[in-house]
Amino acid sequence: MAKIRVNIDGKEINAYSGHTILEIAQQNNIDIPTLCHNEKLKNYGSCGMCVVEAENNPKLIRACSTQIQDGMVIKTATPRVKASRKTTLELMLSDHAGDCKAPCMLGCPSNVDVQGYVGLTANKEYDEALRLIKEDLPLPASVGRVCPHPCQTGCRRGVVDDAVSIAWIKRYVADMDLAKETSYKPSTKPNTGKRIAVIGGGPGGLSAAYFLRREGHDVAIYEAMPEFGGMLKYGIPLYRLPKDVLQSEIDVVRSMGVKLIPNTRVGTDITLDHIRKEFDAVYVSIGAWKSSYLNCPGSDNERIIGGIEFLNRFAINEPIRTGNRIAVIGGGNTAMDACRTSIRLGAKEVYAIYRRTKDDMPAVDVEIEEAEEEGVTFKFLSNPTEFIAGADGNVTHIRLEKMKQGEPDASGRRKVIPTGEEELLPVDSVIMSIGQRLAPNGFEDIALNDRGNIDINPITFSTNLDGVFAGGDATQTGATIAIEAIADGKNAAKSICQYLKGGLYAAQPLYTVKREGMTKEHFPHVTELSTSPMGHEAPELRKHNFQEVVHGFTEDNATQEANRCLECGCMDSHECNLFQFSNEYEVKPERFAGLNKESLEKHTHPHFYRDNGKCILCGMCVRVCDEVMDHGVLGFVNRGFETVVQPALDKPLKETDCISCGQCVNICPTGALQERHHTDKQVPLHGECTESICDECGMGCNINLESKGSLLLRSLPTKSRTDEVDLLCEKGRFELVKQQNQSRLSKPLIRKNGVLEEVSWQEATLYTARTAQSLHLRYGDNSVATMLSGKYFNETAYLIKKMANNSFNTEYVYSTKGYERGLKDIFGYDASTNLMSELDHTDLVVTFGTNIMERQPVLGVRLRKAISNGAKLTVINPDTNVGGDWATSAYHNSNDLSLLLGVAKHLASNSEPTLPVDGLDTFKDSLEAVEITDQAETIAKELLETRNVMFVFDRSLLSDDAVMLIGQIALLSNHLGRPRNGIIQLRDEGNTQGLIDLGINHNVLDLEEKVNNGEVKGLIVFGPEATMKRHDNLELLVVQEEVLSPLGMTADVVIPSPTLIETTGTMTSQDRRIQQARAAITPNTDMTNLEQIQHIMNIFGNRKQQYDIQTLLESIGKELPEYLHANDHLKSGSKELHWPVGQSPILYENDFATANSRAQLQVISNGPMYL
Amino acid sequence: MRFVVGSGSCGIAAGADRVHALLDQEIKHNKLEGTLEITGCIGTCYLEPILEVYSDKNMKRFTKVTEESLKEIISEAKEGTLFNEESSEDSVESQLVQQNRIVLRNCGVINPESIDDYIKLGGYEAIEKCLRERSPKQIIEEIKVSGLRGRGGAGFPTWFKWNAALQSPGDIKYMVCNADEGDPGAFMDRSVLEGDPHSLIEGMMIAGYAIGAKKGIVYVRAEYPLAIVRLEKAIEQAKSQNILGKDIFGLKGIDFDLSIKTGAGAFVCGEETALIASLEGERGMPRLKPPFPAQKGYFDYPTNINNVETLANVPWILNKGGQAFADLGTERSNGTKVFALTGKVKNGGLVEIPMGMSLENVIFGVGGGIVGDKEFKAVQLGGPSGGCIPKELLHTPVEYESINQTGAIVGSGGMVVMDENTCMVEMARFFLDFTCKESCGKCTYCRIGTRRMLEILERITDGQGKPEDIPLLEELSYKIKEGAMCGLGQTAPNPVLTTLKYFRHEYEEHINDKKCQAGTCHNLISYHILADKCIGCTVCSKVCPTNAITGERKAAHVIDQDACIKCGQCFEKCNFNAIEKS
Repeated sequence: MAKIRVNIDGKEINAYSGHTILEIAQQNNIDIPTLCHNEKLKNYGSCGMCVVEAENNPKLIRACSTQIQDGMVIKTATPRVKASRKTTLELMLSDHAGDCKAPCMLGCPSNVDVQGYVGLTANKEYDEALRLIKEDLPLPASVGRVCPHPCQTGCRRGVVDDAVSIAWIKRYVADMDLAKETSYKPSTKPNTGKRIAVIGGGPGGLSAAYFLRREGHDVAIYEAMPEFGGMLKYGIPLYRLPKDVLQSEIDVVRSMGVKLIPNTRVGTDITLDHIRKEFDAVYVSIGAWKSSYLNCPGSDNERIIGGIEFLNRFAINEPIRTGNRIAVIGGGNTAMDACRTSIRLGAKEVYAIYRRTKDDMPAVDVEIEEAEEEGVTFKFLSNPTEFIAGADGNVTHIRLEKMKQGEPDASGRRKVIPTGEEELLPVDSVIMSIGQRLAPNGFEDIALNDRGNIDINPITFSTNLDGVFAGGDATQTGATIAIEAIADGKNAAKSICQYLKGGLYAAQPLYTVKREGMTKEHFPHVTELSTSPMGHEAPELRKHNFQEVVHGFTEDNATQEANRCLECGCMDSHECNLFQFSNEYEVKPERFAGLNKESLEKHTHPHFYRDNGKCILCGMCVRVCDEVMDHGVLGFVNRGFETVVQPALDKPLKETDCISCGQCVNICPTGALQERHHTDKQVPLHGECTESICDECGMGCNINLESKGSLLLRSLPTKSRTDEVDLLCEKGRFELVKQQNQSRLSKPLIRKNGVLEEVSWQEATLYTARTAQSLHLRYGDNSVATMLSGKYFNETAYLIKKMANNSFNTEYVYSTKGYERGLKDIFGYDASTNLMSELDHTDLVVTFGTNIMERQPVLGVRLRKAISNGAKLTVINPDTNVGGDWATSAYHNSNDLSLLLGVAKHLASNSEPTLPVDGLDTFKDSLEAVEITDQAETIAKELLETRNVMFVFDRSLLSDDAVMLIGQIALLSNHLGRPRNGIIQLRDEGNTQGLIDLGINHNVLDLEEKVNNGEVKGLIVFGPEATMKRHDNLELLVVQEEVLSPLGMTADVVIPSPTLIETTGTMTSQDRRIQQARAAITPNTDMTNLEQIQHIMNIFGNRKQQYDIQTLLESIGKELPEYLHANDHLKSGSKELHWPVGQSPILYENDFATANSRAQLQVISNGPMYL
Repeated sequence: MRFVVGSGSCGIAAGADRVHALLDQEIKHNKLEGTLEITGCIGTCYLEPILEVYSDKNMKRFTKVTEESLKEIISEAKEGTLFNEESSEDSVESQLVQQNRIVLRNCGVINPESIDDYIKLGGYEAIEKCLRERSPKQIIEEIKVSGLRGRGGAGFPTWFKWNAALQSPGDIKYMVCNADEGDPGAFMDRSVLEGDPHSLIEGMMIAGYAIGAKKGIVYVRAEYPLAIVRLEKAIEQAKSQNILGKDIFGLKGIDFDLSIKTGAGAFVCGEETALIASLEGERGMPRLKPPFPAQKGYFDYPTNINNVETLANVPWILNKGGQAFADLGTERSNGTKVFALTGKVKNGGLVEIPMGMSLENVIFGVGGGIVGDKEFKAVQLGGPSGGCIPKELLHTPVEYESINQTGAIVGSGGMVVMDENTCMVEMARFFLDFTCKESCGKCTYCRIGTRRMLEILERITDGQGKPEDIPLLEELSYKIKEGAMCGLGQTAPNPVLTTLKYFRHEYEEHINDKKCQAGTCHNLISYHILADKCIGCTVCSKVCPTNAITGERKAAHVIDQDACIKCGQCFEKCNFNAIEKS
């Protein structure tokens, strides 16, 4: 490859030829979008997103496939390029069915992730739900009570039965948080040193302050009134929003560091000018506090009080005289509040006078209903034409004109026309609640619009004054609902942040694909279930006080209600490239509207589903399955516009060759292939990531755990090292998540009167320790045995062993996979001699008695790659079918060692081992009677003729003799002690190797014997095997496990075990790599494994010793020289650590780990090969 | 006497098999003296079935042979009176004189199932000479001199491709013939395969030798069964004569193997990379270029792909010299080109003309003008990838550059002639419907873009067009041309662009006036019965498939517009001009 020079977007770049434009651009951080390219796959070029222009080339060229040439001048973002990409996206979107975001979220002015928090609530993740809400809404408990909830109006459940009671769910979640000792306080970024003044402490001002503070700015709010909350405080009656709820939420804002300055009215107490001088930016959110009045005779009567002034005066305890007959003019929420407050003030008759019909009322239904319940008399289609005052100047009558409905107007609302019929309504007082206006005193410098409100740029929120921004009721079209003001505050905060950096932020409306015209027929699978009931105060009681009317959901109500969510929003929108690009390129695909494919979700797989409605035909799923996995499960069907991706014959995926590796799901750039989260409710979420290690087998695959609260969302493959494929098998990719989210033990159990009952940790550990102690006292040393599975980490296993030895006084520490004989007898270590990565570059792989593709699919894929790169595979199996299809040679042997002995004999007589060996002659002699069959000779010759050979077998499937014989064959054929030559032993569980290294290798068969003959009286099992049974001889059986197993059901004590996902520590893979697993979720058991064991140990010992993972690993290093300094390496972030730490990864390069450093050849007589 | 029956697909379709069977019977039963042979299509498809009868001195050609006329011929032959009178006019001959046949030199002349026939006319001399006397480089030079350009559609210089494949390193190379002729109405390649398969084999052998390929594959569409059979036979014959296989002509180490791969008839498989994918057993979808097939083709080996017509030229060029070929045609478009004349032209069929002949001469000279002497409106060149050329441009010479300038392309040689009754919007819709369905579905622009264009065109022909549709069509057309991945997509908008260029007013009429002047867009026309002319004969009501016409006998009838499906049968059948189309 020659070094050449290209210029991309004006940047001179030195590069090597042979690379594509896309590669070079990516290496130089130049962004070229693509939807069909992936480095793992061959170039494809279908999406058309990566087009660029090159000088002297009239065409648009695809960056993904065009190789750079010396002197090339490339432009990646010309108008022509962008236009082409934009049209590409628009065409794709014109054929895309679904909802990127749920209609509830889009309905919310502040775009709160409604589906997210409702889904989290359904999963009982209330804390996470609250955190999510607080990303977009600072006052959820208050808003949850008073909001007319446009989210619910948008809720699609409404087409099936009733919309989900979203506001009440929000209120529940927020109330739970406020009820805590310390409520959630959102984090704030480091201080920026910028100072911002917010004028107006209502919902809008609080919102702006909250979001600005989160960005690290210094924020002060000036409020004219004595208390904060604005209309929420002074406009909304207490029976709807109790004072303490609002105050608690304001306190959270204050606790974040926002300065709240009350009783300071701009214009009177301080000037805007002054504030502008003192602060870097100003946000004006002063609301609309003046009532509007009707334009008819008598309406200027001073005794007529405005609706908002009425509520206001009541809120600040100013005496109001209203009388017995009160008329409230208007049909909005404020009018209803005025009516209901009047009732509570003891009015005998309250009239709600509205010139239209009930259906036209802007007030929310529940307010109207409750007002009716409380006895408000509604007078619809009644228009006041005159307010008639009595002698005292007070209004005594209202002249009402009856109206009737006319034709619908432009907005679809029916006009009302006067009928001429009149009514004279006697009243004691009138509350005018037909609208609110801005009172601009003190803000004379700010330009107003023709409605008399502050004139702002609707996208940037800027006013005519530099650095002064405004939003909420005071601006634009005037007064509206609180959530609108909160949304303004949030968006204005973004704009102000941008302004402080020296620009203006222009919020683009979010582009989302939406499903329109949904009807009940679209949801045949949804059973009707009406909304959860909500407790109310009885009207008779409540009308006399200001107690909160609505009680709020119970937990059951809330989760049940949340479970009614239809999960409209795309589960993949958080990582959908199409969604991202569509918004980046500001698409407008409507002009291409035409035939759009139906969204047909195919639920034919336990772990993911396909939705061709979202497929963009990039073919990455098809290609990754074919090119990377060599499976070809998916393919294209039909031609042209009808083309779809399907499994052959449109079979359900599970009936194809699919091995559930999830590669197709990982690579899909849209939501066409979506993962089924193994949680109660599917929720599109952006989780936190934790890097860990899978423990499902000895491969030690690196995983990226995505979690939210105590939910594990996904386990994704991750490349820890360059030579790895980012791939997981079904177990690591999906089963792990399923297991984690299943219902598990969380409390210890003790058998009492034959029944397992929940007890405290104290009781459980004490019982275990005391009983074990008494067994020791009665039966002496070694009367209590422990056993653990290969899923326990090195540190835990070490501590369990320590507990067994020191506390229980027993040497009997068993492993569910213990091997007392094996490679150790010949070489010194019972371990793989090389790293698995060397398999990629060896010349011949010999496998024995194992179907690798089934046992360890990830290794299987690795081997397949090696074979496609030219390596050979020889398979020796009892079954001809296993692995035969991709082997270069396959041998079928019966269950004895004759074939291998024959191979060994041929080798022994035709080759000299170069490494030091003892017992060669004896071994040779022992083979005298062995027959070398043709097969044996062929195998042996191939071993001798091939330069690099590696031997792979599954340790748990072969007899000890078979394992040793394979070791000797490797030694005799001189495929040992060199790179790409050696033995890989597959292990069943994540840390089986680590346990063996720690000397926990007693065979379970031996344990059974000891229990049978009564030597062992007590047994403590950590992670039982499915087949284990309790023996009558046992006087104590303690089982620690995640889910109650058959053995656990017979135990005396059951201790809940944290899962892999909840545990931190190291595991040693089957090829001796020491890797660190990290807890992604706090254990639901209250105690980690280490804490539990220490708890028991502490009961024995007088000293309360605290162990942590690092000191334990250090202790291991002190006992096992191979692990010495492992902790230091891990601490320094080393990701490629193997034992012997600090030495070559290849064992036995010069000599062996035996006592005399020489291999000890064993005499092996014919016997069974497979177990 | 020698009886030769024109037995191309077109002849067989017209009844040549029946003619052959009858003659065979007569001869077998010794009722008629003579031998019976077949030949390929001579090009005058409109005259099929064609029977040629040869005596020692004479040849007499009978066209549009029917059972009756054949009986007469047989009886005359038996009586020996067949050659007594000179045929007044041989319309085949008069067609042929206007042509210049290189590719079709043997078609309709030799028996395509006889290698001896081919050899007798100098067949396989060129390849033998090449193998014995010329180096690959010399051959490529000869082709360069000839100026031969790819006849598949793009007109890319053949020598350049050959040279690229020759220069491409590697011991294994492939020579592929693209016989996946897919343009609707084009059948030049089929004719060569059916009528002169050996010239293709020879062409492939020369090309194979020139690029260093020892293996050749002919990719034929399965819809050409006769072509496949004849090619298979020809390959067998060539093998048995040591013309194909190992040590060809006894020359040590000179091998060339030829096999046939049948494709399932996807239009896109005519695209080189899609063809390769299909050959490899994959779904026929284009792949990104670069790498070009000459670098990485069939299973990543250097591969050269030429179409049938291109290769059929090659033996002639090597025999007569590149210069002889270059002498024909125009400056940049040398030699001849075969066209499939179809549509509203009188003499429909295959014609091979020297490059540079004007469209007018092709259509009105060789083609004999418009059927029914109607007004000529336009000619579509290059099939669905091409464009239409209006009357004003009839003087345009048929050669690559001039045709490209009109917005059409020479393409593989489809030439569809349209008369005044053709709606150009509908025509564009028809071709787009074709490409849309034949799109492989891979790239966005082609898959969805052409679909959206089709929807717009359907809207317009349905009378639902909006004024903004024309600019939208144009925008999409240019974007698709620019952004589609392969030739299919890049050329798919051509019929729309050329009709927009030359017949924009028709689009505007459809959209603004809801009118289709040609009267073919159903939703824009209606049929009415003129009461004063209708005599109530009931013919129309009887023929109406939806019973939309009612009326008393001998009284004026009425058409129920809601029930009328505008099939036009009443209009055709009315003897009193009482039905008006508007």
